[in-house]
Amino acid sequence: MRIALIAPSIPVIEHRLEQRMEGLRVRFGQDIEIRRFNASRDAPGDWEGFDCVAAYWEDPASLALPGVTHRVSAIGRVMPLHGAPLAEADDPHANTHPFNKWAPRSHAEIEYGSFRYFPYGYLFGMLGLGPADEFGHRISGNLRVHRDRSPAHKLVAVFGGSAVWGTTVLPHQSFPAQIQDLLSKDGALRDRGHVTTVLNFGIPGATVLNALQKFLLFAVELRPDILIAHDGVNDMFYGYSSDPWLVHQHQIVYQPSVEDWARSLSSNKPEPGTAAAHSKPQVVDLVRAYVRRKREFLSIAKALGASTIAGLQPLSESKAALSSLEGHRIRASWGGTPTYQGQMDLVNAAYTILSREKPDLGASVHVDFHDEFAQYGSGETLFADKVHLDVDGEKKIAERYFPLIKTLLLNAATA
Amino acid sequence: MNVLGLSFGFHDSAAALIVDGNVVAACQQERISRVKNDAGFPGDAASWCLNRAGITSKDLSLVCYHEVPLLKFDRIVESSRRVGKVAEAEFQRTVARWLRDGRFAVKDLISRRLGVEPDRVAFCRHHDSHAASAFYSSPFERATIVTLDGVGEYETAVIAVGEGTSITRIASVQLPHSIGLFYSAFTAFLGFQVNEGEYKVMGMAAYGKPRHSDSLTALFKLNEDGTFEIDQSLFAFDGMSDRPYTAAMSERFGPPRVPHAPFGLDPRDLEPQHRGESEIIVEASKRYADIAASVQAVTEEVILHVVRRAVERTGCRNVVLAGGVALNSLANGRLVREEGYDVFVQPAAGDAGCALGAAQHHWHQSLNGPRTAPLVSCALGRDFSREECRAAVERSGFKVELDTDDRALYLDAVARLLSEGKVVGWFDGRSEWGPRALGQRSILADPRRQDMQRIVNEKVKFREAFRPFAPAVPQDAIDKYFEIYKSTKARRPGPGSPESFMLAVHPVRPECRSALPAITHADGTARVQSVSPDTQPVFHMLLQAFGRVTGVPILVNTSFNLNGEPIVDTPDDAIRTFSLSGIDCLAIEGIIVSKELAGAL
Repeated sequence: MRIALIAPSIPVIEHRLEQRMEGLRVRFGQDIEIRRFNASRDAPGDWEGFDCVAAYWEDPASLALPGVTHRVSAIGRVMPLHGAPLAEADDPHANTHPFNKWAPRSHAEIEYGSFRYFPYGYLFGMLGLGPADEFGHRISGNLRVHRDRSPAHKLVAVFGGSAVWGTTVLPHQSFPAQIQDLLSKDGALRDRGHVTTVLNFGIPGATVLNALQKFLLFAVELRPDILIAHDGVNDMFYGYSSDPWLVHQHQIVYQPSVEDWARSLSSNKPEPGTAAAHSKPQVVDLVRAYVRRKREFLSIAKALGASTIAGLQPLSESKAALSSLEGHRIRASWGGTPTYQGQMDLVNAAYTILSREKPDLGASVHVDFHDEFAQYGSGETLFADKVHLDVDGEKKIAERYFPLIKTLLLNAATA
Repeated sequence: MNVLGLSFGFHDSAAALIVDGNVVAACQQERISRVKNDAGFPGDAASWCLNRAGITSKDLSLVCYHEVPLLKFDRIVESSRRVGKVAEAEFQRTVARWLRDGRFAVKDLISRRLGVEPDRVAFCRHHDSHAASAFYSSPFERATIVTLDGVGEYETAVIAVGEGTSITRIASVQLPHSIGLFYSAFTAFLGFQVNEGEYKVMGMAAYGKPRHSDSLTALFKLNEDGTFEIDQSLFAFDGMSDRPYTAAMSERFGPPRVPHAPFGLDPRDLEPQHRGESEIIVEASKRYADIAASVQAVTEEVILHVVRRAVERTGCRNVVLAGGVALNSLANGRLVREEGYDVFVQPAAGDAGCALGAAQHHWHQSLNGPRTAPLVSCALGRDFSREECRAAVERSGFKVELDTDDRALYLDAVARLLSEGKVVGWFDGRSEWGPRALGQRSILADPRRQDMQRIVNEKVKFREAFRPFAPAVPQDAIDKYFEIYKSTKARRPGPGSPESFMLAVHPVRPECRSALPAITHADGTARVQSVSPDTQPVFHMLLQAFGRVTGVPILVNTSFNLNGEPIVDTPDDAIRTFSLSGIDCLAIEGIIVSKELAGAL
């Protein structure tokens, strides 16, 4: 398959040509041939006859050129042009079950990803960033094969939100995938006959309660040997708009879309101005909710035989200083607008409390990435936006978890 | 008799209730809904006003709306017709919005929502609402009235004279000639949100030189009768475009500032990630600051022109002001200081204040009510008992450091915390009417500390470094620190003065500037608040307590909110903002709360 990639004539924050080409390989297969063109130097006739013509996501001029069919972003996301119909390969699970079939597919929902109604939590649709299963996990193959695995075949299940799923990297660059690589290549484990599979149960937007639901639905029967709960941001970010009574009394945190679904089904719609939007929860209540739910999650996993690792995911504020490139990326993305200022203020306040109080979550190992990322300064570029990491950042996470997992596996084998 | 005034439909919706002519409750909807600049029907605010007075809508003699809707729509049609085909889409959107919001049938809407008969709903022209709010709230039996804003129905400015219960118009300015929209156009050009970021332009102005003031002045024709006209070549005031200025603006002043772009005139002031591009940022910042300074200078001259001519025509040096432009505290300071006028600015001078003005207009004009006591305090919003505050604190999970009925003990403890450099969230009594925090819902800090402006800006308010902080000072100590009067005959800055509502900027005395770095702006001025023991006894005592500890009875007083959020109103709002910001302690009705947790997680 021959693919033309058109570089723009406008200045862009990052060319990241290799990452864009990697995205095309993920979408169209490793054996493709990619030829590069330049919008200001080459003419549409030059890419005539190519099977696919892609231009930079952020360059409207190139995207408007004749023959262009796809957009590729700096993180390697590949999508058809705005408004163009999706091919089956772009959304392969569109009809696998009712909750995908009836999922919203407006322009914005396809463009930015969307929460989809599902009676047990929710599903999240994120297209263009490589394969995902019918529930949106970055997992390939049938999960059931792991249920009857041999004792030497170890299973690591990673739970969390977009920071686990890896919404700013390609599937093989996410930290669970990088952990998988490190484990596969490790001589000591190989010598002991260990085969280890890492499953990425992350789903963008997930709170710890959502992770627990995922665990019950899909992972209990697999009896993972090690469970990593890598989270923190979503419980605060979405806690910002959760009902304060539910948070205070029952430690229930949820995404605004969940409330929207209830409201859209209701026949009791108050007129604006008489029933103000509910007030917002207090930060300590949200921290308590997070701690309670995480303790519950880890204790259930532990009771089912898993060793547990509790990770507090890092924020860009965790670093001692941002690099210039990180500053650019944050300003150019959602974190650079005041739209989510309130949510991020809450995340930061909650992280201050968590870092100061260091609650015992009952895990085998605790990793506070918020504290640990303070060692990185302006010399390292790790963040793709305010809370998500780039490939190098994902690598830092993988390298930190890998020896912990290895130790737990070796200790278990010794015991 | 009870009269309820309402403003809604554009921005800053509000309700105000007058009982026998006295203002008993006034509240902006955003304080309750927590939606900044909430433009929706102020149902919550209206309900609260009625509850406060212990009445229901059945007890209302009149409900007054702040403008004449169909006259306003007529202007929108006229603007659209003038602009032509390109405005069609925007016009259709406007009509759809009006239909959706019930604005073609405002009487029905109010009647239905409040449960009053339509014949008890009355309209008041927008600038009549502004004028009434300014004159009838003032202490003056006779006054020159000037209203200045973006636009009402057609009018953008009115000159009138008030006498007793009557207001007589003398002149008015019609769209497109609008000093409010002139300022807003540059607010947008400088990367700020219109109807919200105008005071940021005022703050930025102090860093620039008014290099463009001659060319901007040339756009104005100042008429002898006090009115003015504006050359429209740079502006699109018809509301039919996505921005209020034309391409000619960029041709003259360069590219517009990108919202949230870094700003700094010294590379050392820039955040680390911007230092690599410091030359470009500093150069651009100078350019934008010069534009802001020029716009501010020209605006002041236009305001002074209108007021001077108005005073000449009425022969009355008592001046009352309202309309969003009356929040231009630099211009107000000059009217007091340079012209020596006795000035009253209705504290909610923007459109929220029209709720009050519409009610006052009909109280006097339709119900023939007499004049009543002037407005000397902004504390017209909600209050909460100590028990309610204590319950909220207990719910919050934060540790109570002190809970006492002993006021002196409480205020001494707060003063000591402030003197130690702590930033304190301060919650006392009824919340303020108007956009300024005046010691009811305030963030307080020590003005003597060099780093306090940066600390409050970065850790508490998360806002732009170029915005100044205001000082609160006891009324009797104001002359010691600030230069306000040329003449000793001028009215003192007591209750009801622009200074008491933090609506006038004055120079800090040169010998005091180095001792008050956190409140002295780049140009040596401050938006000083004069605090009276009569209207704000607790806050006044706190300033005195701080003075006893430090020798300086002045505090940094900034609004108790996070950047982009409405000012807090309830104890829960206050605790939440306290917890999300770098505020060190919360002082709320005798209770001092720290950031420590009350128990283990």
